Amino acid sequence: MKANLLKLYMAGVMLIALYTACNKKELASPDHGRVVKLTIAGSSTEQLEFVYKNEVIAAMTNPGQISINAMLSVSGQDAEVEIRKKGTTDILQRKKITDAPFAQHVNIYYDGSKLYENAVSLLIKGYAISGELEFLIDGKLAAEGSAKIENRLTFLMDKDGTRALTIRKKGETAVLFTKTIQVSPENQSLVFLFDGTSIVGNIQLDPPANPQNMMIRARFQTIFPLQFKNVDVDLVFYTRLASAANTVTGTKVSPELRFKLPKDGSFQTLELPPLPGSNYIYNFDIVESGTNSDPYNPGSPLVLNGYTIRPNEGRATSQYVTDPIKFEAGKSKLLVITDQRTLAPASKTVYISGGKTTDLSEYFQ
Amino acid sequence: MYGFYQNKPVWPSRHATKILLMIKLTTLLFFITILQISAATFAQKVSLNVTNEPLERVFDRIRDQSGVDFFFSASLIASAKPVSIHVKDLELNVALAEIFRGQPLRYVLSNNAVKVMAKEYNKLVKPGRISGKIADEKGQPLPGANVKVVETGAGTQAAADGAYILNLPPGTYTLEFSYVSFATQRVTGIVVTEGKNTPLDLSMKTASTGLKEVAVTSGYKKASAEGLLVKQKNASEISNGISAEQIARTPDKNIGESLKRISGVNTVDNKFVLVRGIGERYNSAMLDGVILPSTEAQTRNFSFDLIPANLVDNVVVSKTVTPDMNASFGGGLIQINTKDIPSENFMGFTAGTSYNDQSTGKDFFSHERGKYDYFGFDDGRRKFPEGLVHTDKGVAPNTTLTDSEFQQKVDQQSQKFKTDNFTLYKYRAAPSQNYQFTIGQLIAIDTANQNKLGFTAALSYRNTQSIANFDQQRRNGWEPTFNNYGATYNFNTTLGALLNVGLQLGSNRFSLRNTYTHLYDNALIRTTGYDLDNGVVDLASGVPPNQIQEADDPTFTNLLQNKLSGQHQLSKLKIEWNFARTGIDRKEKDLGIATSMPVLIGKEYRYFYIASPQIQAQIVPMSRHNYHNQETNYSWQLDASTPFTLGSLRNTIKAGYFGITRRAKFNWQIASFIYSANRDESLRYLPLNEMVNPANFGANGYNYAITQYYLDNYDGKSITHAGYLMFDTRFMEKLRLIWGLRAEHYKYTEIKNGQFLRGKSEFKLPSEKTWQFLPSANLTYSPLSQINFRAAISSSVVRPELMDNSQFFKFSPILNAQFGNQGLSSTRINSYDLKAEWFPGLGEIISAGAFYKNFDKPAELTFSIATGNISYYLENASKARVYGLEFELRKNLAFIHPNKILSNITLYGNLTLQKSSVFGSYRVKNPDPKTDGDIRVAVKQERSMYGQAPYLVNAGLQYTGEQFGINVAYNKSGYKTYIVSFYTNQIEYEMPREQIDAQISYKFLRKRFEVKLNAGNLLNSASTFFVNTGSYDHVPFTPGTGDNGLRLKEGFTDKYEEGDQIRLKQKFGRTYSTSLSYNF
Repeated sequence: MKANLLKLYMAGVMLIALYTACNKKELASPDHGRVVKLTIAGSSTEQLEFVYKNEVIAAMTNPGQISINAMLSVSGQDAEVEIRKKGTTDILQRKKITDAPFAQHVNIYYDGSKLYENAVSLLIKGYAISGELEFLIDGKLAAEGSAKIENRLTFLMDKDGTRALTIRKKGETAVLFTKTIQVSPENQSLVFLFDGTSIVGNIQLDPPANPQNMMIRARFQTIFPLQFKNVDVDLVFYTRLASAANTVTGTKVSPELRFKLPKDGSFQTLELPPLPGSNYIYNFDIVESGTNSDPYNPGSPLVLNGYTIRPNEGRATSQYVTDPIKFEAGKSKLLVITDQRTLAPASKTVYISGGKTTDLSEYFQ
Repeated sequence: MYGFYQNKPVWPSRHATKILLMIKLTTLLFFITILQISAATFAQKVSLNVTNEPLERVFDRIRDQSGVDFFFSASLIASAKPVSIHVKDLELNVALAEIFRGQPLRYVLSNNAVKVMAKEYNKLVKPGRISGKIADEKGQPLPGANVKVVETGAGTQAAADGAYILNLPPGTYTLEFSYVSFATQRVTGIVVTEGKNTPLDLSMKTASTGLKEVAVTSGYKKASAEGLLVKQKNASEISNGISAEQIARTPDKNIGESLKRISGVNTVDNKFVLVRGIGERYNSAMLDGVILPSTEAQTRNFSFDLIPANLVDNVVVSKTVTPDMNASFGGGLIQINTKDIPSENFMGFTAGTSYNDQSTGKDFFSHERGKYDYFGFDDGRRKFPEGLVHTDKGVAPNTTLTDSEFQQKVDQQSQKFKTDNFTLYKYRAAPSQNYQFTIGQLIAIDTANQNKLGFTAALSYRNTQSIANFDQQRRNGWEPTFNNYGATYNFNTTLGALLNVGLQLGSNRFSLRNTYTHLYDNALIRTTGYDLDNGVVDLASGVPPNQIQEADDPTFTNLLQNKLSGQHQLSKLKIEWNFARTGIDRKEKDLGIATSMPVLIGKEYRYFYIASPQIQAQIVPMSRHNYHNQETNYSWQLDASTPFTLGSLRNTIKAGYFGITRRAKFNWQIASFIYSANRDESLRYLPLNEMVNPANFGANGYNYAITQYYLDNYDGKSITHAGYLMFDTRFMEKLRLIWGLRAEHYKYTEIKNGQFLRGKSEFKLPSEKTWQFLPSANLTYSPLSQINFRAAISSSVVRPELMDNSQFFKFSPILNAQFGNQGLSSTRINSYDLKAEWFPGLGEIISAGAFYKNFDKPAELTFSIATGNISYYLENASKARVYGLEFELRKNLAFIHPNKILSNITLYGNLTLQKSSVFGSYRVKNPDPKTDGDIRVAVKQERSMYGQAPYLVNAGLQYTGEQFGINVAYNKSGYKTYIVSFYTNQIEYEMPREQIDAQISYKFLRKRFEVKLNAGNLLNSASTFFVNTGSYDHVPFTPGTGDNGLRLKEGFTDKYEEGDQIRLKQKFGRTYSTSLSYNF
């Protein structure tokens, strides 16, 4: 019996050794998956909440912009974030999350009826030389503008869908321009010039032949249509100190530099030579093309009673000093040049010269 | 088939078992009766006065006088020689021995009958042996004492240490001991069995005139018991001990188990020892006269369970000092003396296993184990990179580097850390296992010339995996309003080897003792809780515990001790010498500290490990360390002693010289795990194994930073020369005075002491006295042979360990702070002891004593906020006084009724009561403007000294039968002072803790097998530490006066009361173990 006990004991000791050998290790902390930083951006007309693994991980407190950062534990490739209206159980959409990369992004756009995955932001940047324009998304008015127009329109998009932008003159139904918006890129832009009748989407600006010069491409537009003789005009260039008083005459560019601009408002080009110095600006007189005569008839509102139009001789209006032709060597600029008058009450004189220049170059470069 | 069934062992039925039991009991009673008859037979006396009388006739005379019958055949008796014998009132056995001397016959005396047989000349019988030591009634060895075998006339003389050995054929013998001026003594009935040793230590009495020619005769049992009693009673100092004979009667297999049987000694886990309730710093341990270094990494402790019990000659725990002791202590000195030449050959194997109810089979957290962890060696996975340099940008040579060059340097160095020793794994705690093999051989023996050669050796292996759970961790940095919790996971593999060789050539004896210990000890402490910085807010916000700290300390220790010693008896002059080397090599390899914090991921908190910002490079939250500590000691000793008589006074003079040189080196390398300011956010949330992967190191990720203080070393040495002169003077036989003076010359040399803390070093080594004179006197008065009154005064100096002189501060996860010192003084202890002892019988003692100890500059673990930060220092108090009472009892219960059961039961217990008052110190700015820094000013504090408990109780009951043994031990200590402080509401105490251990053993198969069952720590009481935060009021006070502004509230004490704060509560679990030993 004692021998048996001994055998039993030895067997016990061997079992312990075996137990020790079979003692497998495992990680002290179970694998909870990788951490992913999820950002949810977009907008919603209603409050939404976001659910992960049956837990609400984030919720909007007000309708509007969505900007949510959430850290999630993700194991494998099948994780999903569910999107639903706050207080409801119906899932509007499920977004797949993977365990890599660390930073992941989801866009959500909800217009109250439909949830879009993408939004395209369209920058509309242009100039309406005359009239007021309307911008429509799929036939629905989205924006209006006149003269200098800069607007950003958001198009909520399905994954593979398209949407249409149309432009028309206010009060008219005729479509001036149509653009199909694709889902990507996310940021798109439309640059245009409306000349009063049509949308010009592509204007070529060539650099000056002499890099010391500046190329201008310009059209003339009067603000005195009742007195304007509706003729082609020449701009006769002067230089003057930028600091000089408006009523001081300028120095005529020699040889004379004339820039003919047709009465139809079409764009013409001219290379301007360099100024005598950096403190100088260009100015001009407006005359009937090929003459030194004013292209205006007397009469209100251009000429006040008892006043006489006299040659401008390089004088400047205050508006022009604010928005002159800014000379930049080697550059090419697209300008709309308007006229303006300066009154000299002492001599009861009206001087007519450039009112202001509107630089449209930025839209076409 | 039939035969097969016949041979199959048949298990007894219940009925059969009963019958078997009755047979056994009857046999037992019969055996007891026979023993009594046998004893009576031996004690009978006969008178014979015959010349050349036939043997058969002599038998008739004896039968007539004693009633003893003789059995023999007529043919056999015919070969007998006639007998001549003239004796009066001689013990029968002695008379028979005389009658059979020279006869071709032998006899066996048993059961009132003598059986006569022919001598078997041709049978090869293995001799047996009688061995022991001969001493006088005061325990002094008697070299040259004669021993004669009455039956054969053979004899021998005692060696220098009083030892003798006799080889004899099996039989029953009478020995006669004689020595000049001592009464001749005969010991009868010594049974020698084949191949076995019969131990017999003898105490001889001084001869008085009337006794000169008459031999004192006593039985073996009585003589043997007296010998042990004399040894026990005559220790020169106040001591307690246990001898090999006593150990042999217990089921103990190692000294760790035996120590708890010694009065005044407390053991922890059967391994570590506390004496008199005085902390481990003031206890010392010696193995064969050489101080044992610590086997534990951070405490001054030796794991006594490495020493097998059957290699031990004796263990003595001394509580007072004599000048010849080379150890310094205030509590006790544990002296373990092992055998070199065994008295008999032995070989044994023990295998054991144990189960801890809160560890075994439970989840055991650990970093990835190495392939050889179970063997105690590293497989290379913890190897620290070599050639590391510091990465402080503002310190040369880095000042000349551009930003990108510096970054490249940091990157390249960090790439060297390739192994992931941070990721935490879960294992299952295996049962502990231990194996021990022991052997002892007496190789050559020549009793005629007193020459002998022998060796003893042991090999042991142990693997233990234990979990100590703790909670209520509120120490430094942990939020006190939360129950911070955790556990210590300890994986320990210990290999031990011991080889002693002894050679005796006449009165010269040489021994070579070697001990080798290899330990792999890996403690991982994992604490979960809230930190002090954000805990309150996080707790209120529902954040789960905001910090989990894991600190792992894999420590590999090699300890090798060699000692060559000699003992020579030149006439009356005894010379002893020894030379010893002790080498300790401790490597803490890739010690790792890692901290994780919760981060809300989705709706769930997940824990991620954190690193230091690059510019901070701190140890916490995450760092890895590599320490290498080497200490080598050489010691040499020469002692000479001789007895002399001065008038009527018997004296012994002993003089000696002892020298020891120590050299300690300590290298530290620390690399803080850091993150760059440009870390990619994704890296913050990586699992730990990827975080520490070099692929994620660099300018935009993680790296290791090493400050200039993280790579440095300490190197120091000391040399001590000590000389002593000691007298052992006996006045009127009843009074004995051992007195003398020891002079010690100590010189410490600092070779390198690298700075560890940032800023200006405040470390300053106090000046030490080069010479220390340590007088001592031990007076013993023995009015009766069983009673001693003792008085002792002694002085001792406990010097700092060499490593205590290093500026290094180590992070302690259980204190959650760095721990070190700013320069320690030696502690001088003057002790005064009184003790009354009564030795009612062998192994019995009833005693009462009182002691008073004066500690000058005791070193204490001190909590300090002097610098504004919480720190723990080992710091000297100014002085401390400890006084106490001690009571001991060890009594066999045979006095109630001398039956077999009660005589096998021993009741033992001891009680120590003590009180101390401490003059602490506090720091003030040095008033001398010429000297910079602080000075310490003494202030009396009403508190106990570090490590002290007001009471310590040990009690137990022991049954030691022939085969069956049982032992139940109980101990309890009072409120123990653990960490002291100038601020009385910050002194940390350990609450009283009770412990009960039980052991059952059973020997079988001719006692070759022994099975033991142990149950340890049965109450599983918690070890609870607390501070008296609720017991003190703050009062207005003047800073710098020594007043700490704290007053004990009325009705409050320093005991744990409502409002006080528990700082840590730890439980170790109950351990059940079993072992099987086989002696070949």
